[in-house]
Amino acid sequence: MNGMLNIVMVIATVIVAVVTYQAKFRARALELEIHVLNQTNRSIRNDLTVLRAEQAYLSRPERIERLARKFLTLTPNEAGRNLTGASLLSGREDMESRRSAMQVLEKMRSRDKARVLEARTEAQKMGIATVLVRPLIARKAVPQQRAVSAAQVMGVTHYSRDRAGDAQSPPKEPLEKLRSRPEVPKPKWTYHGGIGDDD
Amino acid sequence: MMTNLSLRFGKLAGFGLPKKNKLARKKSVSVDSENLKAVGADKGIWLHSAPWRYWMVFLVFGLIFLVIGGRLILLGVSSNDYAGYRLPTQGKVAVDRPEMVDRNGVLLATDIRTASLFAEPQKIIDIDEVLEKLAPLFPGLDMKRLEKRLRSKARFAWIKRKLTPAQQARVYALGLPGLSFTDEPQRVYPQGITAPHILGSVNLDNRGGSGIEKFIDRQIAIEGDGTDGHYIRDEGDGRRIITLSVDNRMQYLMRQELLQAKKKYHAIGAAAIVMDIHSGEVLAMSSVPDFDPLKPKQVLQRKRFNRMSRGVFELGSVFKTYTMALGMEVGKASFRSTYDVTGPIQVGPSRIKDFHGPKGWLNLAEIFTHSSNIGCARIADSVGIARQKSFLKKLGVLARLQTEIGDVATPLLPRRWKRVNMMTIAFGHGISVAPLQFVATSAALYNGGFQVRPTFLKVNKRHNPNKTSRRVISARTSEKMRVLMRLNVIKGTGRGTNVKGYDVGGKTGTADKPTRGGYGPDVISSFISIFPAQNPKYIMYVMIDAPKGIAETGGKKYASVNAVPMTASLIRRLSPFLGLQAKEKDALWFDMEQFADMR
Repeated sequence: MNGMLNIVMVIATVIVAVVTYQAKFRARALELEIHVLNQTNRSIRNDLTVLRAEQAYLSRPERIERLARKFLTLTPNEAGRNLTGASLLSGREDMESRRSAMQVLEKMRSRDKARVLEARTEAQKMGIATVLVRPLIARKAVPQQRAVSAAQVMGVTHYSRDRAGDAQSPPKEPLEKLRSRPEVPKPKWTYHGGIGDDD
Repeated sequence: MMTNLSLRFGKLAGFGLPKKNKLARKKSVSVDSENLKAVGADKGIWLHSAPWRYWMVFLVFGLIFLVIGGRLILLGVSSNDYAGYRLPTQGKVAVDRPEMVDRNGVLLATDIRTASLFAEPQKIIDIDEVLEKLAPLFPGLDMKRLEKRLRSKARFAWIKRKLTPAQQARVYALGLPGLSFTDEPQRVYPQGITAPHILGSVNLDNRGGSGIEKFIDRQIAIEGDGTDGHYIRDEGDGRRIITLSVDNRMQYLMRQELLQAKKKYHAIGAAAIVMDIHSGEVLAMSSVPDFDPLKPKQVLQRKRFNRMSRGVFELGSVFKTYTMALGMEVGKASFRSTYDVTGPIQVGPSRIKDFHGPKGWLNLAEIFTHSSNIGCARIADSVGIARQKSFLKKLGVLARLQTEIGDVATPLLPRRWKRVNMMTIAFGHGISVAPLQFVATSAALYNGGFQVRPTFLKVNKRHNPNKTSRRVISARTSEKMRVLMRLNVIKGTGRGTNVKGYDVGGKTGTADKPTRGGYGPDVISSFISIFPAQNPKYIMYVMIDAPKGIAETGGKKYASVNAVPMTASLIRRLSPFLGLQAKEKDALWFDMEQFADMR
């Protein structure tokens, strides 16, 4: 009787020990997994930061201005060149273009970012300056718009009707030149993610 | 004795079965008693103490097992610290600074990760080899110093911090033992040099040294619990953001204008600011020459200081706006008041003169538009020293002003505020104030009379320093000041800033720059403007430090030929971003009749 009990106890101890160790190893494996995930997370975040910095660097006003001067036949924006809905309509005599201008304006007030962007391209095609649209985008449509950096909007403000008063489409020739340019300027710094991780 | 012991243990093993226990006890009693007789000890104690000892032994073993079992569970459950098994650590603790964005969310400053190379000298096998192989990779490195450090008994030595990824790859390729990398954050300013005086700079350890960078350091508990001041917003995805009041595009344009103006007028510096006249938000502020935040040597250069806030100047005639407001506020002056400006005023050894403008009797508006020193001195004289001083104090001109980018330079006041001081202060001499402080305190003269605290952070629900701003002058005086400012642009010295449709109002200031023992040939020319004057939204101040006369200005260096065209150009270029729309025609919103016969 006595011996039996001892054997049972020993077996129970062994079983408990095995289970405990298994649990421990499982926990260790999970820990590793968590660590790997954290590392990945960290490195992706780092990459994102770098990309955001790069985006800001490439869309800084200084560069946009330089490129606009080089490739676009537009003049810097200044006072009195901004248009409102009313002034936009006033130059358009036929009903057709009045209606399309109205539609573009309406679209720009949309809360949907995609629609606003779409409207903006249309406005560009119509030769409308989108200066006054910017506050709309910033305040109403997309409160914290980051996709459209303000600097890009600035590039658009260079669009304007030409001095003769006729609607002007975006110049085709320089744009094509821009697209077909063979060499891409090297970024000032590049980043190869992951190299920095060591223990 | 041996049997006794074995019996006892046998009994221990059989514990838990009362029946057997009883049997065993009987047996042991008999054996014990025999032994005890032999030794001659007291029988009774042993009889009763024996089972107690069994219990004791059981308890001790039980406890030991419990401890071992508990430890086992702990080992299994708890983290790797106990297991003697270590996961790779996550580099050195490096503080990530919050990102800075402008009022539209454009990135102004952020941290990116870079690798820094260090050595553990004791782990290096061949120091000569290390030096030899590293030398071609880092041409600028001081090899002698490095050798000294590597040969020392130190456990740690930096070799080179903030490597480019390419350099890092090459060091890896060398495969030298004893060299390691650590992750370090590197502050980058993707917009280049646009607002260095506002953003500030950081040192090699990524700690803020000036500007908002320094402000951030005061806000975050760097090593501590990580609780941030309420200016820093946590985006939840590991990004922390501080939103500035400046607009990156305006900031860029303003800096360009300033650089052009500095070059054009051969000035030693130029500075400008645009501020929201109600909320105190600085939308753009620049001072050139400025510095590249990534070049630490430039940061401390004297000539690159922030002229807007770190230097005090005798601002000259722009100070007359205070005198006008003072006269009207205390009821000593009105649009109907007239003053004799025929001859100079002699106060002790000093003589107050006018260099241009008509002689004879001038009314208040004429004194303002012709910028008469004598007239302003007379107005101040009619008010008195005490009231002038208390008025300026109330506006906040005399005390030190604090902002997020650091303290504004303390105003230089006359040691004793005598009659002559009062008179010179009336036209902006004998008192030196930082331009930023001048702009901030001036805002109250035009915004309806409320004091404004300038801020470089975007105003929102949580951050609004002017929520409870107090009234410092009456609304009536403020309205009259707006009329005077507009009038000066229509008829006076500020005519060049009359940008169509924007209803600009403003005042010129050309102040002689003090030199040792008097005034030198150089001037500070400046222009303070508000627009739209009827109901101002923005206040702008432009100053040029020591402009030279050029052909275009007819060799003159008055504010009306340099600061004025500069202001006009700035208004033209910035207005599209200020959300202001040019009106078809500048409507006259005050009764022009009363100024019809102005000279």
